[in-house]
Amino acid sequence: MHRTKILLIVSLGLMLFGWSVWASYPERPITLICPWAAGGGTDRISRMIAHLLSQELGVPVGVVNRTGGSGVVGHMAGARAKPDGYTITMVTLEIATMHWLGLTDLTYADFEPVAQLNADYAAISVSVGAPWKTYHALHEYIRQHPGKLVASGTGVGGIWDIARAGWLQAAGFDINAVRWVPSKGAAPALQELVAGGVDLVTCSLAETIPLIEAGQVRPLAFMGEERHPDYPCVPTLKELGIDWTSGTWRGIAAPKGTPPEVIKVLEEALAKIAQSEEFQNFMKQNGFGIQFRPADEFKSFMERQDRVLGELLKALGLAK
Amino acid sequence: MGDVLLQALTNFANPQVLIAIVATAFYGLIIGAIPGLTATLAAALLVPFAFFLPPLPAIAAYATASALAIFAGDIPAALVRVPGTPATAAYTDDSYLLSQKGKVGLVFGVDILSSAIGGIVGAFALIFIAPLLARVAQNFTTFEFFWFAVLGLSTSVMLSAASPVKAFISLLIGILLGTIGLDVTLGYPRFTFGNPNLLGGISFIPAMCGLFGVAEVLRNVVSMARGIEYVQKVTFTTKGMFREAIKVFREFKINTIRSNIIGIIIGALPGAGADIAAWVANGVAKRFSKHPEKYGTGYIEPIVDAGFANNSALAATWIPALVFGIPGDSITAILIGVLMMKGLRPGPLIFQQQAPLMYSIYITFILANLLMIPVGWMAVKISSQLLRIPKKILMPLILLMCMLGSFAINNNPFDIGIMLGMGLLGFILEANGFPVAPVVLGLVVGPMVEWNFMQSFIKTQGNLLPFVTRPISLGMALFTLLLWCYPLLSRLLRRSQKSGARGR
Amino acid sequence: MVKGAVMPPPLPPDAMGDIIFGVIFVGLALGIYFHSQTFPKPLGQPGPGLFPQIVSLLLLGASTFLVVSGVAKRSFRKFSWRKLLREVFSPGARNFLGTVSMVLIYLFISPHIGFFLSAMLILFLLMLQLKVHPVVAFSVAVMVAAISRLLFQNFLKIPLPPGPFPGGW
Repeated sequence: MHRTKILLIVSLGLMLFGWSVWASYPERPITLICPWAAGGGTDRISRMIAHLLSQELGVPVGVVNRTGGSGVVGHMAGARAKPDGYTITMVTLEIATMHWLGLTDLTYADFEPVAQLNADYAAISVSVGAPWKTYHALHEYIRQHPGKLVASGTGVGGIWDIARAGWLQAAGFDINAVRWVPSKGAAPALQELVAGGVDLVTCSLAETIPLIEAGQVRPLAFMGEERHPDYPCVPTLKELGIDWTSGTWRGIAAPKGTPPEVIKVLEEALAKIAQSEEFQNFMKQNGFGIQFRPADEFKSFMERQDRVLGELLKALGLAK
Repeated sequence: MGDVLLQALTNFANPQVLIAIVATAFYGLIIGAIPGLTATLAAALLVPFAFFLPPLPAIAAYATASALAIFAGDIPAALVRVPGTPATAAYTDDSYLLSQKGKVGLVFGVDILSSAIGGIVGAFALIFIAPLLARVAQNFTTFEFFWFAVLGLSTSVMLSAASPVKAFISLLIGILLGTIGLDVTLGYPRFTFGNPNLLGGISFIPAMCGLFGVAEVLRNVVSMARGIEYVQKVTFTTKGMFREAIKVFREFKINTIRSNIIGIIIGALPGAGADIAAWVANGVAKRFSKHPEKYGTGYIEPIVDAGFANNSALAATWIPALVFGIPGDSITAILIGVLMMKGLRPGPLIFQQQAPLMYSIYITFILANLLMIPVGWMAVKISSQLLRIPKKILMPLILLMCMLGSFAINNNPFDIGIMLGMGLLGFILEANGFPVAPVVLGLVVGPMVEWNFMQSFIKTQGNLLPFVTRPISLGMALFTLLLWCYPLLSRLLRRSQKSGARGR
Repeated sequence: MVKGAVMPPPLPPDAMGDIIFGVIFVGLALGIYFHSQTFPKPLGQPGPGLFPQIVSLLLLGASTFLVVSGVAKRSFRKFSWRKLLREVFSPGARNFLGTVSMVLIYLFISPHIGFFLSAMLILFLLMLQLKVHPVVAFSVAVMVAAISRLLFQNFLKIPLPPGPFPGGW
């Protein structure tokens, strides 16, 4: 009897405590950690989300850029924050690669996923002066001259390198049938492409749009699930019989141990935001693709990505 | 063009635009003028505000703030020897020593006018030859960028007043510091000692705050204890500062033209930016100078050259940014973000689809640079009052500002530690006759040498011939060689003429 | 206060400093060179070690040159332990250490007591060390810490470490 009484009091106390934590969530400003620098793509999405979240939740949401360490520092700060829902993180796909690369022990499992918001798929692009006008011509050339062409788009082990490797593997080539030239991001790689320094670029289609419009770069194939809405004439690899999709993605996550009630509040708010006209216009203007996945789907997506990207990094000899 | 221009001009009837320009002029000036806070920081901190502004005010604000902040970085460089950008580091010693000789007015006169004129020249380059320059720049690949980086690095040794060996050692230390972090070929973490904060390398802002700012504070607190205040009360007059500056420009007519051209060309190259422009302009100037021995000892010529090159390059870095979306430095990288945020995708089409907006940007550039003259004049008047604050109060304040500036760029307290380490390094190096400016340049440009070399090597599978067989590449290589050997050549020439005066 | 001095007066030519630094840099260069050799070497690529190795060899050459030219100069200042000790315990060295430790103290305490208090504390202590009148030092410290906090946190939205007072001060 005595024991049950204590149990009752304790559980009541816990309930009250728990209730007071989440019932009124959110009641003070929320911090959104962006692991990349001000002005970049992730930063812009973060700012838009912060703006819309604060409208939705009625509390200020501030973006904090925790940059440095190739994204490790910011993700780590986000994962180690107090799990009370007042510090959330814009996680990017690097969370699925950086532990394979031996940069940190941090994985997606250190986060409580809230929702995925964006996915930008890669494209295989060549300079307009290149002899290949279609993907088939390029494919044939690679088959006959393996190891002759070079591609670029980001650093070694970065997402566009992985996109290249996965494409070559799925197409039945050797993983180095097109060699990789590391670059400091997509912009310098595109400069190299136009100047004739490299043959292909496998960065996201969105990033190449200015040069496509300038008539300098031609996209040959798209690595999305479906064709890109702005470039419906570019076939997907899947249509071409190569089962491979690859791209970068971003989503919101909270530190591990954040109460599910809090996650629920954020998830619902983000679901509404993803539907909103303001968000959709913003994403279109910036050339970002919208890809909404609720918490449970986002979680299994991250698990899948972690496995697939890890296998490719192993095949590339980069995984530690 | 007339229609578009008129339409663009009517944009400026919108008070919001004018308010944005004036307000951010002061904002850029204040941030830039505080020792320890830098132009890059001013640009980064503007992003959240730009987010809530309509397109034109946002871009106008950004253009104005960055132009003014870069100019304002010259102020703490001259007054307390804390430069705001790696470009300013090219002439920090000269402007500091000159101002210590009581010539603050002259230094600031030259700073303001060369910045304003350089900026306007750069703006005209942006208006009239942007597409042309952009097309030329498109032929540049890693082979050419490699030589550019080497050229930039070598100027730091040429420009040093200290012994060339020591300047070279400083440069090598900077380059080695630049190798910290993930490597380009394999993503292998070098010299990080397992610390994730070092994976991305040492950011140049905390490094600069440390090497210049903290080292200066340390030097001052040490000398204070000996009862010596090294920095004298500078008699400051703004009277006639512009007149004197114009006199200087007359004297160095060729420099002004040459440095503007160098600034525009280097600025228009994607990835090079204003930093390399200022250093190369100075390196070239010293080679052709009548008094190369005075460089680094408080001489006005380097300030003229670098001032022009710095600011004309600033506008020119917008060319690859607007035409292709390829940033020239950290400031234009943020610019591209601001444009995209406003739904403007950089690219050649932006000039046709958004012609009035583009013209408005040009007008903003010219306005901002004109505004620089009166506002800059006010700023130097006010900030030279800094020197009235006793050193024992000023030094702790500079230390705090350096800490804040180092922290704010990545919001990472680790960077304050970097700043302290760099401060100790800078103090020890300077005390033993090693200049610190080459360390900064090595840190910023050293990685570019490695990147471009490694990319070239991987591209060609080890064939290094293109470094000297591609026409532009060969030209760059020869130019670098010429700049190196010029003193030797001229000495030989002079010896054959049996003249007594020796160069360096 | 000595008038007319613009910069710290150049030390009399002392080749000893060059030799000492030359030796330190030789050691550094060797250390980096051998450490870089442990970096992975991928097939057909120079790998991450190449560049540090080249630079450290250049450093080795330059610092060896410094040592050799220093030895050749033979202009050594007389060395005395007493002078060194005096230097180490001089007020200048105390100020130096004071300044350095202020930064360390800030790094250590600011996560716990927040920006405002820690900035105020280090400013105050450093000014005391530099012999500013305590009242002046205190008021300047409070004012500057408050203004910086307002400007950076509230206006420029930089997330400074929060303190115990309401509003994160």
